Amino acid sequence: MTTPTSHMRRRQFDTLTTVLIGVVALLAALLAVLQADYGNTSSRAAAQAARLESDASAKIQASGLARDAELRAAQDALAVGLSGVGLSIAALEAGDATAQALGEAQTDGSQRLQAAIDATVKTSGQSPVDPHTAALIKAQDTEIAAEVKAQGAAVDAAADAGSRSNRAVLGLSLATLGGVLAGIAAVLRVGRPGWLTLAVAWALVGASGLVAVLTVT
Amino acid sequence: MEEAPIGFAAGGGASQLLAVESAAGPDDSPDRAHDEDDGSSHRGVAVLLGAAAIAAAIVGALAAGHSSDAADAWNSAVRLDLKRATVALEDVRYVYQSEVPQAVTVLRARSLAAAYTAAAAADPASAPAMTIAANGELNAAKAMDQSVPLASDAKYALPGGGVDLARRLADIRNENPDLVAIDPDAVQAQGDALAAKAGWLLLALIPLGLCALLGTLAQAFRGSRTPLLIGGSVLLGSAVIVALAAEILA
Repeated sequence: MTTPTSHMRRRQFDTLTTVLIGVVALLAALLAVLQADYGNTSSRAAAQAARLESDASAKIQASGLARDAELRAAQDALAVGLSGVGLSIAALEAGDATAQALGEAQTDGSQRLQAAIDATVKTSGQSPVDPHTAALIKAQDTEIAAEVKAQGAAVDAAADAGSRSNRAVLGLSLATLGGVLAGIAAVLRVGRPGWLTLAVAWALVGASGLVAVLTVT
Repeated sequence: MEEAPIGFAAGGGASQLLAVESAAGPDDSPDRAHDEDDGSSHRGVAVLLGAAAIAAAIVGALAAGHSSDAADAWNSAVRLDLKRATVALEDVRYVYQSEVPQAVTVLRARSLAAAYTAAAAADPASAPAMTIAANGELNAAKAMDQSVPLASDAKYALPGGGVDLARRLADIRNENPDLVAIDPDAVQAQGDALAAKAGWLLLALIPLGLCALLGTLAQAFRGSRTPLLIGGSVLLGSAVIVALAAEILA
């Protein structure tokens, strides 16, 4: 026998259960969007960080090779010049005019070599070298430092988006659990177990909504 | 009779619905009449929710596929970047670490030979010694430059006596043009485009979620069922349009 009161309770129960299922559907959709979006953001930032790391490392090595080669060449020119000066001084002390002339010629040769090296260094990293390789060779320390900083920021962004994505998964799990409990409540129908299950389901869905808010803030 | 919740109707099937109807008894006869009038709208709710679920499944699957492809593209960009940097570094190392020191040795010999020759012309007294020294340097230069294309090939010679490092490095690099043509940025951009497409597709889940909410509300609130069903249908249609636009245009 159905009394008006029990009829009203059953109606309230069914309404709350039905609305809960709709809310779960909406929350699940929102959280799925958030999870996928933050997941993609995290993957993109992680990939960008890896690329920046590789690029910075390559720039350090390539620009270092170029600078080393330039310095060694300059040292060679300087050594020739020092040898010439030394020979000239020794020849002057010994009164050997030919040796002195040889020393002066060596000094002149050093200057010629330095001029040739300067001309050579000016072509380093210039056209027709491809832009990527040229950028590696010509990289300056400040540029590399900025890239390392950007790499750190990308790592941080990946971590942040990853944790948000994980939070969205937590929200989805809570919403799913709430949906399952709503289904169980619908099976249990009106009664203490049914109401209790429905209350827990609403609490879980509320927690899921809270997690959704925390995910985006 | 009162209405069964969606979960119960969907989970229990027709036999449970019939059981609920028979349990309701003769007291609910006005409701029964109303329910019979409302039979089509019940089906409308079921169809709306079913369509929303199918659309959500399709949209979700497509978006997941695009997201996966985007992640693949981003990872490929990383691999390509490493490959490009590695081969570029190897070429730079070869030119700057192997060829340049030898070329500088040749340039040193040539510079000294030129200086000795100039000194010989300027000072006849020391000319014999200068000539011997110049010839020694020239012979040394000739002996070495055969093994150093950077120093021996005329196309790399600069007017000032230096060598064109850029041209030499470009030639070395262009021995493998496919490696020079590696473009990780383009692959990364493909990943970005796929991720954007997935994002637009996922946006369609929002109206689909709202559609499901309106569908369940239509089941719960009989009096507003028709407008709720219309609203849900509009949301479903808009979600399908968004999804199609994302799939075709994005």
